[in-house]
Amino acid sequence: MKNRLRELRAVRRWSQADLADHLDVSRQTINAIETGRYDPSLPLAFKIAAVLELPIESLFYPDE
Amino acid sequence: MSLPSDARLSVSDRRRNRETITKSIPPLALLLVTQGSLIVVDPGRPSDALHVGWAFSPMVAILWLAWVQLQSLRRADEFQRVVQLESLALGFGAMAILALGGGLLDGAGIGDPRQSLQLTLGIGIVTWVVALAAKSRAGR
Repeated sequence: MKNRLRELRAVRRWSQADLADHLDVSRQTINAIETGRYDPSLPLAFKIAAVLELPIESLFYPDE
Repeated sequence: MSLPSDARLSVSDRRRNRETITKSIPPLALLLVTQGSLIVVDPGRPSDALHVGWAFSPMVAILWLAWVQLQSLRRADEFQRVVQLESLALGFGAMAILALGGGLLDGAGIGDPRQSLQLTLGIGIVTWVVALAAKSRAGR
């Protein structure tokens, strides 16, 4: 699964640590999601969408 | 688009690290004292029930440390938990293979079972720690 986390974070001028603070997760987790090494659980994906104030389908999309 | 570079740990990271370190100090101190007393003091009566309890005393610290690790795992976020459990699985796999090897050697009458047990435990823990460090480093 791919995502637009990096791009949307850049728009807000947030570092990975800033986003991690908003989500109460580690910076390592944000990095793993951004680089596609880890697909977040549904609860975390919804939390990310809520923090970025966007619908979840505009954040995550399939590989193909 | 440029991204702000910030290598600092998140609040969640710092809280978890601080709690784990703080809670690990008392059991580590206890382990030092109990293990030290086993090395320094010679009871002279190995069959005594009190001596058996005393010989097992480091287990209290070990169980305490295991509980601290478990608490740390429960506080971890979902990705950290995956990394931690994968590392533990690698450590466990290494220990299982070494234990089997040690058992085969013991069955053939080669080597000292106590030494092979200690070696198995040591290598298992090292495998766990190295795997955790490697996986954590890859995520930076």
